Amino acid sequence: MASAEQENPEATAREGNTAADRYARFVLRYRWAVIGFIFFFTLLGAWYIKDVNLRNDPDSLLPLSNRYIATNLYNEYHYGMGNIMVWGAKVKQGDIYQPWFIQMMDELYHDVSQLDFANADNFIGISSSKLRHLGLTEEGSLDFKRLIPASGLSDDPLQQKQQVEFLKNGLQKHPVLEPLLLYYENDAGERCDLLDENGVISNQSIAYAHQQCTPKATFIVGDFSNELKEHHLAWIAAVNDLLREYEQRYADRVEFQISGEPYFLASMVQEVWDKAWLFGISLAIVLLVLWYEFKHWNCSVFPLLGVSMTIVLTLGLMGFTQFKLTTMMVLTPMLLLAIGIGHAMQVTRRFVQELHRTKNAETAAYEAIRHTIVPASLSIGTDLHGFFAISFVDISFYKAYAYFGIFGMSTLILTTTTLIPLLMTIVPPKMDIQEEEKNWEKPMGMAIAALLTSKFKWIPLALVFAVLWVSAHYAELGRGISALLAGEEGRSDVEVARIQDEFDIMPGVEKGIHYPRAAFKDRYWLGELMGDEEVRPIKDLNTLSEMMAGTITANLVIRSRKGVLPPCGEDSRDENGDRIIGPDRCYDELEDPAQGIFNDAEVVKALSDFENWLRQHPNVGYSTSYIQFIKTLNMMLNAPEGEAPMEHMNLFEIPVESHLRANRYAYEDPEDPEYLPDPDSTVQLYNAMLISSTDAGELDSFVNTSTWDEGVIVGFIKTMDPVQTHQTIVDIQNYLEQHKFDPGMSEIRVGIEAGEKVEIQLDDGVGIITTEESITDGKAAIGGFLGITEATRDVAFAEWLHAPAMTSVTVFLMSAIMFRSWTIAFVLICLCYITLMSQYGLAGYMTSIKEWSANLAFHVQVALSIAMGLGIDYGVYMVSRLREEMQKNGLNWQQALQDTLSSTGSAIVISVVVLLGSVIPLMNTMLANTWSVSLYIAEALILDVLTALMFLPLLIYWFKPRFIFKANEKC
Amino acid sequence: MVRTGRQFFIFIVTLFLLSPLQAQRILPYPQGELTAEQIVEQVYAVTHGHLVRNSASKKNKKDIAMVVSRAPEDRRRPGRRPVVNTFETYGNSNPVNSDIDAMQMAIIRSGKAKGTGVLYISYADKSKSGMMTLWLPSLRKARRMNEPAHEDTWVGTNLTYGELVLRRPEHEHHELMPDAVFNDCLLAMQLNDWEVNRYTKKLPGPQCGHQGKEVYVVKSTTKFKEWWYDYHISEIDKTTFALYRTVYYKNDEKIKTVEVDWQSLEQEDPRVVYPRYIYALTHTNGMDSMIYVPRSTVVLNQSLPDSFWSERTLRKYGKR
Repeated sequence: MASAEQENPEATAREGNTAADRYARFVLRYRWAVIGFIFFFTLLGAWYIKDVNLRNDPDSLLPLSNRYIATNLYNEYHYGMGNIMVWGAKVKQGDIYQPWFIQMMDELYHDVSQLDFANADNFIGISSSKLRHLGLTEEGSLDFKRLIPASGLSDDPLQQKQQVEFLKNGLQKHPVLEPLLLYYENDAGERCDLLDENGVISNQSIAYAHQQCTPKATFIVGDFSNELKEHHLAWIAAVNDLLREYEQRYADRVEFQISGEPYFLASMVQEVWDKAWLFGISLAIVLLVLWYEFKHWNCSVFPLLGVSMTIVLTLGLMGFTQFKLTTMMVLTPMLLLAIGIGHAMQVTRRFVQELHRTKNAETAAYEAIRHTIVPASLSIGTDLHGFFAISFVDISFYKAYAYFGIFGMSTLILTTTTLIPLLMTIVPPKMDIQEEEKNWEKPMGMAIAALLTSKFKWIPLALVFAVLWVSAHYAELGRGISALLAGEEGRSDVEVARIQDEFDIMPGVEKGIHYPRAAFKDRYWLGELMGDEEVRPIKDLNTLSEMMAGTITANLVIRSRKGVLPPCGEDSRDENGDRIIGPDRCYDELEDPAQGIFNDAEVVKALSDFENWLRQHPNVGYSTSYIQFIKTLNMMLNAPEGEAPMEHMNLFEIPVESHLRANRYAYEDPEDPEYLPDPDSTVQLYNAMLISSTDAGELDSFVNTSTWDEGVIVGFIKTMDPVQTHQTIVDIQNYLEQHKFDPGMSEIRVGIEAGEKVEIQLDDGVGIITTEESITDGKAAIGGFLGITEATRDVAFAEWLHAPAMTSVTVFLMSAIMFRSWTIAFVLICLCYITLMSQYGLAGYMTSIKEWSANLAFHVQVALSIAMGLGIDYGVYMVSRLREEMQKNGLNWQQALQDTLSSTGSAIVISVVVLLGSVIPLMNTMLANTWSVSLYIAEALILDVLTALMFLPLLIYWFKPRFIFKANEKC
Repeated sequence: MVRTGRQFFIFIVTLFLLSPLQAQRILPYPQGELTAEQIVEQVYAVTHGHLVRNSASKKNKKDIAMVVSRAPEDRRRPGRRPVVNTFETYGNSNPVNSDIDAMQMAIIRSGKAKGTGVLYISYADKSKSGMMTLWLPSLRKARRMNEPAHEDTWVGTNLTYGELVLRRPEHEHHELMPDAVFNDCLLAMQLNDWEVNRYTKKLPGPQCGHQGKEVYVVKSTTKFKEWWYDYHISEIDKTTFALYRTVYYKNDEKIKTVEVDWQSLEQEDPRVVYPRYIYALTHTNGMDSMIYVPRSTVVLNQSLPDSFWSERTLRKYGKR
C-alpha cells in the first residue's frame, strides 16, 4: 500500500512511456467506456447474486474419493437416513405417560413428518407405525398391535387411560426402540441406561430403569431428502415456526429440544441472512475511517463504492458458476472489503496529494493511476499467494476461497486503483481539502524508531521469543519432537506411535473437528447484549446428548467378500421351462438355496457379536441393525406358548447351533426329541417373514433385500469430542482387524475399499466415483457423521503443515524475485513463521481449554495460508519504504526508519483498523467457523503489523541487506 | 422398526378372503333403483365371497398364484427385483361347527419361506377376533397370532388389510354419484427389463375387456378420524357388482388407485366372480404391487373333511 508513496512525483510526466503511463493514459482517454464496462459487469454480477448456491453440505466439502466419504455417500444412496433430525420433548412434571403429553407427541409426530422434504416412512417415534406391541393378547396369542392407534388416542377418558397403559406396557417390552426413544431419569436427575455395563439389554438392566427411574422424555427421529439442501431458508423457517408454536402452547409443561444435521446446516444459512445487518456496521466503520483520513465525502464514498463493486462482482461470479458454497464463504466479502479498502486508500491519498500539487483533477488522476498501478499489482500479487496455495488442496471450500479470492482481489485493480481516480475526475473533491498530517503519525514513528535504536531494542526481540515460547508450550512442540526422536523403542507407547505415524510434531494442537462446535459457538457476545447469549443449536444438542443414546451415527456398511451369483435370466431355462443354466452359475430366488451373507447364520452371529462389542464401547450409546430384527423375531417365535417373550431375553439371540443347544427348552420338537432347527434355514425363514411382513422399503434402511448380501449397522455415538471420536474409529477398526479371520467375520468386509467404483447420488443424478486409499494400512472405512469427522481429521492432518509450507515457498520466491535479495526474502519469511507459530500456539491454547470452535480443524487451517499471504504485505511495504528513505536520507538509518514508520507505518496501522472493523460481522454472529477463521486472521495480522513495525527493522539492521544499505541500487 | 411376522402370517388368508370361493350365503340379486348403501353391501358380499360354497387355489402344472410387489420408484434401480411369493390356499366355508364361520389354510410354495403355513378360523360371533395359527417349518412350531389393524399394510405391498378384508360398509359414509361407462383399460404392472424373470413374466398385461360396461360411481367417506385417506371413488359393475377401480383421495389429491380384473366363474349368479389380478399403484411414491391368480389354479367344491384344516395338515405340508 505504502509503495505508492515511494514514487517521486517530479520524475513523472504525462508523456512518460512506461506500461503504467500508457495504462493511465488509456483509461483516462476511454474513461466513460471503462466506467461503463465496470458498471455493466457489476450490474450483471448483481443479477446473479440471487443464484448464489449457499448450501452448507459437509458431504461436498471433502474429496469424494476419500474412503470415509465414499462409504458415507454409498450408505446414503443405498440405505438413506442421510439427513437425520431429532425432536425431543421432556415433561416437566410427572412422566411421559399422561394423555395430554401422548396426544401432543402424536400431533407433533404428524406435523414434523408433514414438513417439506420429509421421508415420512423413515420417521421413528412413539406414534410411528413401526412401533408395535411385542407381547401377548389376553387369549395368549402373540400380539403386534400399534402402540398408539393410527387415529390417535380416544376422546373417552377411560379408553384413553387404557390406551396409555397399553402404550406404556408396549414400550417397556420393546427391546429395540425403547432405548432409542425413551429417556429415563432417576431421582437425582441422572440418566438411567437401559443397557447394562456390557452394552447388553438384560432383564436386570431393564428392571432397574423401569422400577427405579421415571420416563421423562421421548424423541422423534426423522429423515429428510437431499433436496432440502437447495431450500434451506424456507425449510428452517417452517421448522422453527412449528417448534415455536408447540413451545408457546406447552411452555409451562414441556421442554423441547431440536437437533440434527439439516437443522444445523440450515440454521447456519439462516444466521448469515439474519445477521447481514452487521455488514452495514462494517461499512459504517470503514466510512468513518475514510472520513477521518480524507475529510471529504467524495474521498470516502468512492473508495467504498469501488470495493463494494468488487464484492458484487465476486458474489455475482459465485452465483453465475453455481459453485457449492458454505457459510464459511461470508469471509470472502469481508476480506475483500478489508484488503480492498487498503488499496482504495492508497490511490485516493495519492490523488488528493496530486490534486493539491497540480490543482488539476485530470493530471491528479493520471499521476495517481500511474504511480499506484504497479505497487498495487505487486501487493495484490502477494495477497494472492495464500489463495493460490490453497487452490491445490482438494477441499471444495478451500478451492472456493481460492478461486473467488483470486478473482475478487484481481478486480480491485479495476474497481479501486483505476475506477476511483476516474470518478474523481468527473466529481472532483473540493480544492480546499488540506492534506493534514495526523497528529499521531509522526510521534508514533519517532517513538518506535527511538526504541529500536536504543538499548531497549532487545524488548521487541524478547517479545518475539516470548510469543514463540508460549506458542510452543501450548502446541506441545517439545512433546512432539521427543516422540519423533523416540524411534522404534518408543513405539510401545501408543501415543508416541501415533505421533510418529501422523508426524504430529505439535500434539497439543488438535486437528480433528467437533462439527457442531465448528458450526456454532456455545454463546456469543452480541447475544449476551441482547439477553439471549446461549446458542440454541448447541444448547439443545448438549441436552439431547445427555438424554439420548447418541447424536451422531457411525454407519458400518457390511458387504460380503465373495459376492452373489447373478439372478437367472430367461435364458436359464429351455422352452419347456426346464433349467439349462445350473445353480452354480445363476440364482433362482424361488428355487435355489438362499445366497447372501445375511442368510448365513454364522455371519449373522458374527455381526451380532460385533454389534454387542460396539454397544460396550464407552463412546457408543446404542446401535441398531437388521440383526436386531432377527433377534427379536427369534425371541417372539420361540418363547414358550402362553409366556411373554420379554421374559425370555435369553432368546434375543441369533439361533446358531451353540445357542440352540444351550436353550434346547425353547427349540425342541416334542415329537422328535433329537431335533434342533437348522441355523441357516431358521435365519432364512426369518428373513422371508420379515420381508413379507414389513412395509415396502422398511428394511431397506438396514439390509439389501435384493441380494441379502450387504447391510448396515448404525452406531449412535455419544460424543463429538474430536479426540474421542478419533479413538472410537480407531477402536472399531482395530476390532475388525483383530477378528477378520474369525468364523463369519472372514466372509465380510466393512466399508468401501480403495480402488472401488461405487454409485452415489449426485445433484444431477446418479454418478460413479472411484475411491483412493486414504486410510492407513487399508483399515475399514466407516460412514455416518463419525466417518465424516474422521475424514475431516485426516484431511486436516494432511494439510496443517503442508498448506502453510506451500504458501511460504511461493511467498519466499516471490519476495526474492521482487527484491532480488535472498536476505530480504529470508527476513520476510522469518516474520511469516513467527506469525504461523503464534497461530499454532493459539490453536494449542484453544485445544487446552477444549474450545472446539477454534482448534486447528480443517476449516480453520485455511486461515493460516490466507493470513500468510496477506500479512507479508506489511513487510513488503516496510522494506520498500525503508530502501526509499535510506536512499533519500543518504543511508541515515535513524532518519530513514523514523520517516518510514511515520508514513508507511501509520498507513499499516490504519489498514489494520479497517480490517478489524471488517471482521465485526464475522465475530458477532452465532457462527463459529467464520468467527474462528477471522480470529486467526486478525491475530495473525495484528502480530504481522507489530513484527513489521518493531521486529523487521531490527533484522534489517542486523543483516544489512545490500538492497537497502547500498546506495543507488535499483530495486 | 421391528414389526416381525404378523402380516406375513395372514397375507395369504387375506387373499383367500378376497376370492368368492367361500361360504355360500343367501343374498338375493337386487332389484330396482339401489341406494349407495345397497350397492356397497352388494360389493362387500361379492368381494368377501358370500356367494359360493368353497374352493382352493392349487398349483396346476406350472401355474400358481403369486403376489409381486415393487419398491417405491426412487428406490427402484437395476438389479433390484420385485419380491415374489407363490402360494396355495384352501378354504372351508361350510364347517360343521356352527360357531365357526369359516376356515382357511394357506401354504407358501417357494423361496426361503417354503412350507410355511397359515390356518385362520373366523367365528360366527363377529365381536370375537379370529384365531390364526402359523406353522414354521424350520422351527417345527405352530404359533398363534392376533388379527391385524385396518391400516396395516399387506405383505409388503401398498395394500392395507382394511382395503382388502377388514373394512365394512358401516365404516364409511356413501354417496351415489351419476352412473358412468367404464371406458379405460385396467392398469397392470409395467416391468423394467431387469425385473422380468420366469415368474414375473407370467403377470398379465392391462385388461381392456371391461370397456363399455356400465358402472355405478360411489363416493365413500371414511368415518375414522385422522385417517390415511379422506374418501375414495369406486366404479362398480352394474350387473356383477364387481369393483373395477377405487381411487383414494387425501386433501383432494389422488393418492392411490386399486384396480381389479374380476372374471366370471361361469356360475348362474353373475355376481360370482374371482379376481384374476389386483393391481395397486400409490401415486405419491410410485410404489405398486400385483396379485395374480391363474384361472387354472382354481378348484371348486373339493370333498375334504373339516379336520383337513388343522395344524397336522400344516405340519405335513410344511415338513422339511
